[in-house]
Amino acid sequence: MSSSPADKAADRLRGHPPETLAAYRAYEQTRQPAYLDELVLRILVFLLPEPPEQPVTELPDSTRLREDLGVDSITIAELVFMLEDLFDLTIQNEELVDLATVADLRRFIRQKISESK
Amino acid sequence: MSSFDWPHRPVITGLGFISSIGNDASAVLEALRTQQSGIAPHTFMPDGQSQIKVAGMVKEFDLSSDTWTLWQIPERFKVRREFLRSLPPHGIYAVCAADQAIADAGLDPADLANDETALFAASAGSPFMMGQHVRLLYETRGRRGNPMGVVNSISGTLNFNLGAYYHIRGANLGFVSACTSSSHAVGHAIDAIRLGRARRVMVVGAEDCNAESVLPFAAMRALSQGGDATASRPWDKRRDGFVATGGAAVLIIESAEAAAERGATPYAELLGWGQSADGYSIAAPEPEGQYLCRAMERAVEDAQIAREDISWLHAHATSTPTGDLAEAKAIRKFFGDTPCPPVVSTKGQSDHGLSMAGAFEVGLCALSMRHGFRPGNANLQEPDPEVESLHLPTAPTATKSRYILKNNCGFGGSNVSLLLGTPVL
Repeated sequence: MSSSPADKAADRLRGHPPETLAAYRAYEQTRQPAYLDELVLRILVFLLPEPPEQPVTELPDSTRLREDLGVDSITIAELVFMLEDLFDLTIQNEELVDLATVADLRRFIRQKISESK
Repeated sequence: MSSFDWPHRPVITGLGFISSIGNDASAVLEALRTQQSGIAPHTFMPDGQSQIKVAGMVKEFDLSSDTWTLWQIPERFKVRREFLRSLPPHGIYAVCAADQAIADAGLDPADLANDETALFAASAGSPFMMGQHVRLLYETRGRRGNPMGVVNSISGTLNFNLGAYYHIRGANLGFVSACTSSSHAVGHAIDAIRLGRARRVMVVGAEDCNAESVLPFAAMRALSQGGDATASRPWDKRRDGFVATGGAAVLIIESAEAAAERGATPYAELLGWGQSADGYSIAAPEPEGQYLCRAMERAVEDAQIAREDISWLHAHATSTPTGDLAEAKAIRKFFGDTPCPPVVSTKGQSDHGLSMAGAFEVGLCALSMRHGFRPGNANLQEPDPEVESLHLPTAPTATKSRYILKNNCGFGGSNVSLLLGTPVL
């Protein structure tokens, strides 16, 4: 069994593009929110049938999760499942209802992680 | 009403296989003709201490990881990426076999996306995936679970995934009758086509074949403890249980007129079927085979053919001591004074695929019919004295088949007999 959070993250992100684990590690080392944003969006686009053409770090705040990226409710559930595991969070269903854009998602995850510290 | 009086006549136009004896129809055909075995050493446990020493594992794929991102699928098979995490191992096999069957029928996947196509699927679900989900639920005290945990594990997973994958809108249902599951699916596909409730049915049978799906049968003392490719030896005096296999078999069944409109050449016509139940035991067959005999009687009555016209019989015979004997008695009873045609079990080569067995073996019969040969009873060296009255050829033989009767039997005493005939073009 994995013990440290870093080991656990490496295990959970097996098979994902290496940039995703790199973003996790960068965030853990620096606590820069930009790395957290990148991590969340990299996990999200990995789950999509047709990832967006532009790099995740360049996705505009106004990008709509459902209409522009093709995110559905089960994809959000999978993203949340991963983030709960990586950061030992608990996220309730009702907290997900209002997530409509990339900006909403960034704001929400940043807030959840700051609350959990 | 004979099969020629039904308004619609079901024919098989496409086959797809991912199996221990080949990952496409031509490889399976070659294996049948040369009696190449799918059985190889395999222990299912990392320390190699399992009492089970052999299995019919699917080659080229590696779906053993608990993480779908690490699964290895041969490049020639294209599984849509967004489905990988909702599919169990046998679901991956099923998509690869379905794509083959669709192409073999001369269809495009888009041709299934309509109100007249049905999906009839059969598997035992994936205890391998289920085990992971349950473990996580306990580890997190029920606070966290994989969102795909239901759709990639429970019985029905093939329906959830393949129904969405191919946009099938006519009907989407599953069959759970153990080793007759996909035989029942074929039988009900015959009815659906005949009654005009579907123009086309994709029948899928698939199984994982891993420790979680196979070793529980060892606990029932149903598996062979043999250590080489002869461990599965239906009808033989030294048989001691079945050898497990997995993979997927897919049949495209459609009405004869739908096939003719496209200029498709059927492998075989499905002339009729019969089912029955033993009402006897949770797992053991009724020892005299009287209810399996009834299923065969119902199949020939349904098809309105004479039993002396049956070219050969493809048996369920799994190499278990009691099962083979009960089936032998059922066959003797069924033919009575009529000369008994050759009886063949292919499980000596291709092992026993449980829910997959029916669709897989109907596929083998269809290949045999088209290519003018009859497979043999592999590994049969010393016939059990109690089955000696059957004609059990051991070698594959070139022969034309007019009618093939196909049996399968499952836990709970479920019996299905299907009757295939040379297609009338």
